Amino acid sequence: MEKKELEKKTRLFLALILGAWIILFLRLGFLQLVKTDEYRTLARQNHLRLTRLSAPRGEIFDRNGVRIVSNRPVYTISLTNLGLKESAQVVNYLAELLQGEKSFQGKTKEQIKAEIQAKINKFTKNKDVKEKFSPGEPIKIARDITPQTIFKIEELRYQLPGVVVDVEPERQYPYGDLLVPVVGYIGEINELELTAHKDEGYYLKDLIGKEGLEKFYEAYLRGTPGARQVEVDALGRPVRDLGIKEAVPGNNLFLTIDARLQRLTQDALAQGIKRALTAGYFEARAGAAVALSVYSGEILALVSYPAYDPNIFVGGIREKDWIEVNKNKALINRALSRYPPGSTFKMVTATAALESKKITGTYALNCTGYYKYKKDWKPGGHGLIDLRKAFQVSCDVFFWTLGVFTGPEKMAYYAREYGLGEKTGVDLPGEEAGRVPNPAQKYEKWQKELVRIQKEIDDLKQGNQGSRGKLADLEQKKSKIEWELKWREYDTLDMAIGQGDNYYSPLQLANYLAAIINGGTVYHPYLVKKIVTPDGKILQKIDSQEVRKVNASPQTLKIIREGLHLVTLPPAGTAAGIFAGTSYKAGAKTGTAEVHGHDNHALILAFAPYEKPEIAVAVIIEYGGKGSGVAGPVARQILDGYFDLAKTKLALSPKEAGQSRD
Amino acid sequence: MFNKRLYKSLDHTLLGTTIILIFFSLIMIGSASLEYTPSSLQQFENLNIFLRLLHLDYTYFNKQILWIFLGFGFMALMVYVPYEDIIKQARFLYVLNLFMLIMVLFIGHTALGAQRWIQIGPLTFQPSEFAKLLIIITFAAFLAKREGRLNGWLGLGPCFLYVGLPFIVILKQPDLGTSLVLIAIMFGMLFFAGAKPAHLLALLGIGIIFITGIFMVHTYLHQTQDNLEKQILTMQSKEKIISQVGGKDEAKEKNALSRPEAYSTKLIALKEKYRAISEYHQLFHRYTLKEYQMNRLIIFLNPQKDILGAGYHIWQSLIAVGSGGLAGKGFLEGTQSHFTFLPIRHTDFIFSVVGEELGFLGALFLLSLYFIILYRGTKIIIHARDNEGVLLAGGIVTMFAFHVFVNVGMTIGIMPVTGIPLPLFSYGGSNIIMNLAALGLLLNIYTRRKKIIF
Repeated sequence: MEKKELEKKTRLFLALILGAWIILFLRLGFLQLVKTDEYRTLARQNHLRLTRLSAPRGEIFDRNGVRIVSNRPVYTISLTNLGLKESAQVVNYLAELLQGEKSFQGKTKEQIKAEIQAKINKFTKNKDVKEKFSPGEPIKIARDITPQTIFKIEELRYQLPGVVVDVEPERQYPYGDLLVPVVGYIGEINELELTAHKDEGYYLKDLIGKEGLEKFYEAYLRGTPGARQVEVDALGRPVRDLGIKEAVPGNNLFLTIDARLQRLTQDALAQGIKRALTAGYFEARAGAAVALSVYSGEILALVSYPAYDPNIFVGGIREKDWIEVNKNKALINRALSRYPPGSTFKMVTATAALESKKITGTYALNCTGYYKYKKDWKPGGHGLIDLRKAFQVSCDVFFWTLGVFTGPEKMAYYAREYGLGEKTGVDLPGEEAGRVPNPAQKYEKWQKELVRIQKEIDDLKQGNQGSRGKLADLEQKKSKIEWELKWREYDTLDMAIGQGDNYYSPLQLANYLAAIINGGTVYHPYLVKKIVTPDGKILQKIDSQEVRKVNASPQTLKIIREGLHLVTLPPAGTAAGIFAGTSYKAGAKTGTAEVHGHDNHALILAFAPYEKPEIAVAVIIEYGGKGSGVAGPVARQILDGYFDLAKTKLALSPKEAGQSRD
Repeated sequence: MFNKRLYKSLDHTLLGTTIILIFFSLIMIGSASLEYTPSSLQQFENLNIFLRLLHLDYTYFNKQILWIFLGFGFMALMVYVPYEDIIKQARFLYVLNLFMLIMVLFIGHTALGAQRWIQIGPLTFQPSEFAKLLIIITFAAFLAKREGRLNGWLGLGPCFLYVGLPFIVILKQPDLGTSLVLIAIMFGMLFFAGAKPAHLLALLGIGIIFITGIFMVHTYLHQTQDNLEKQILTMQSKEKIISQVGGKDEAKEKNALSRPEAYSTKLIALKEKYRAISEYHQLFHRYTLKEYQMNRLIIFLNPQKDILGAGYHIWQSLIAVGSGGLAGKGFLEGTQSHFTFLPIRHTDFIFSVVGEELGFLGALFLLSLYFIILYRGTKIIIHARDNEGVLLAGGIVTMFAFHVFVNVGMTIGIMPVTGIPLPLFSYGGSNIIMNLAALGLLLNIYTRRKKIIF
């Protein structure tokens, strides 16, 4: 070979190598000089792992320190570093160890394996999640693991890379359904809540109060999560602890509720509803009861029936339970939902008539059983009666007359004075304001209907496609609505006895009764007395708070109170049978609210003692028939219980509570 | 045996650089052996750098020293025996090479998904490593005989057959990396043997187009199959919903597809199409590479696509090198290596350890050492006494350069992961012995260069 040619070739060859080396240099320069920071961050993310330590939520106690909602620590198992080739082996081992555990009861190893794999796939295979999912993030696969199994897992630590054992606090309900649904429940935060609480340090998979006290006092109950920083190796095995910031537990709530009275009320209402069912009211499946401290607005018992077992929400609710609980509408707090008040509204009518001087306390009339075209509930009427007597026998004709005397505006004014038709401001989410009827409200309501019908008619006329019959039909509807736009006398009559467009919550009704009997003060009803830090310091003390003084004279209130007392007295009192033989003197007003196409709602408002009232009670049983029939005995049981409990200072034991659950 | 005259005639720059390189490699193997566990880290934390050295795991280090001594023995042997004498044995060596490679297929020891090792007593060795050197020797003899006959396309044919045979046997193991090295060696040596560069370039171009074509066909098959699968699944779940909801659903009237008859015919057609495509897909893999092999080859283009699977090695290596920065994290301070994120770091990915702990400067230094060796190698090509010497030296330099480029390129994400070690640097006896023997051959050619009659 020619030497020159060889030199030329070799030079070309060397140039080629040099070119390759320059490519390497450039690439190295790009990685190590330009992108350094990016890769440094990635390296740090690789070996430094920050785990959040969830804080135990604050606990909830009753007024006497009975723990209604508490926490217990449970072991959970999570997997990190999924997708490595060791994962399949790890899942296999785990499935074997977890056999017979509570979360996998009665499942074979293969079934457990499939279940774990499904949980993993949900995160790693799902495209949407995958983008947000970093391989170091743990995925929880089992909770409430026994210490024996945990011990085994710790022993096999090196065969189980990526398996993380954590201790997490979990909600515990020692008394079962006591104070359910008032306490509410917690669950994993959803997208909506995450955006709503954007700046409060919530992360995906955090727990948050969804309903009831858990939701209302979320900020207090939540606590501050801690964190632990660990250096890990490629298989996620911890190599070195770099430090820990302990979680701070949430603050504890002390309620105005008396757990014993609450239990008793829950049971009494459940029994009452059962009685209504056996008495033939087949739709009677729900109800509510409220007991208030008359001079402070403290809620002693707040019951909504049906309740549910709060334990179903612990560790994530199963679909079956969720469907069940929603079918029963058990998540709704019925004590805050609105119902027609029926005759329990009559105190408003009386106040309006007395205060506007349309009648005096001695005014009397002869009830013939008729007021114009309206018939009293008692055929033949009540004869000559005055206001007090009218309360006792719940004479409709008397209150119709008063209603016509005073007119709707006055009645609406006094209803609002008593706090009806406005939110009480109780410390619970989801309270309904209710509705006080009056001419303006009626006009507005029907005006909307009118606009809708008018539009339909216009459409029909424009399209020219509608049949003549249909048009005539609509025209007829329209003229009916036009009639309804105006407040009529029968509206006044309906309003005066609590029918028509009256809608109030049991809590409002109890609070309204309390205002009547405590001399005219509307209090703000409340559930939480004090908020205490985990180390026992009082963070906040909530005192009773006046909303307003009712614009009514003591004389008026006294007359009404006397009338309510008569209700419990024989011979004619509508609640005389119910309150026969009590050791205390009581007052009450029954109510039977008509529901179109259904059985009537049964209501009663009651208080005791008559001389110096302490407790005001409202009970409603949906579609339960007559107030005196099924709601009355429940109220009696509550009042009896209240005075019995005041005598005995017995604490409620968890066992007892469990047994007495209905 | 030691001959003063022989020693004086050696290329001292080449030899010196090699020795520096080997010392450097021992230090890095020592570092790569360090793995943190809770106890080892606790022990380590409070020690200074010198005391830390005493606590390293010296298993690989010590073994490597043994290999190095063995390697220098081979090197001396290769320097001492005139290369002409070795070349004369080409036919025997070619057969021996093939025999060893075929033996691997039968009695080979499997590791990391490939059959590459033969066990002899306590030692395992990798015939495909030595095959590279043997091919260089035998191919040099083969080409030397055909001097002047390589101008046309026809003359190249036998050369391809000659290298093709061992190439296919190695590919069968499978050892794609080494097979590629053979191709590189062949092209390099053909270049020096007088084949027209235009021809070689054309062949290279055809090869690249062919390979790209194969990958494109595969991507098409794969994506079509995936799409069809998705369509079928969504249709099936819709069908389920429709059959559950029954006739009341208004969507049923709105959407013509939801009529059961039209639905099922479409579904059947889709399923038919899916079956055909998946058949082609399977056929494709039977005659070419397996799915995972193809994935591994192209994942370097976008390792983030699958950082837990095929892309894991490259991704962790990129993090290691990138996070090293200009001056590195310091010796024994690499988190990627010592917290075990970096896989097979004492062998194929040892360059990443250099990049992480010694940074851009360390990498630059290492690559410069290699360049010096290669530069000296090209000098030896020019000075070679005869054609055989040129071809031998050309083959060795090509092999060396290709190895370094592909290995380093792999660790920094510009080359596919093919399992090629870094010559004289990665841990492993076959690598050290073969490369030192090859350098010995290079020195042999240098000592017997023109003008000096030995």
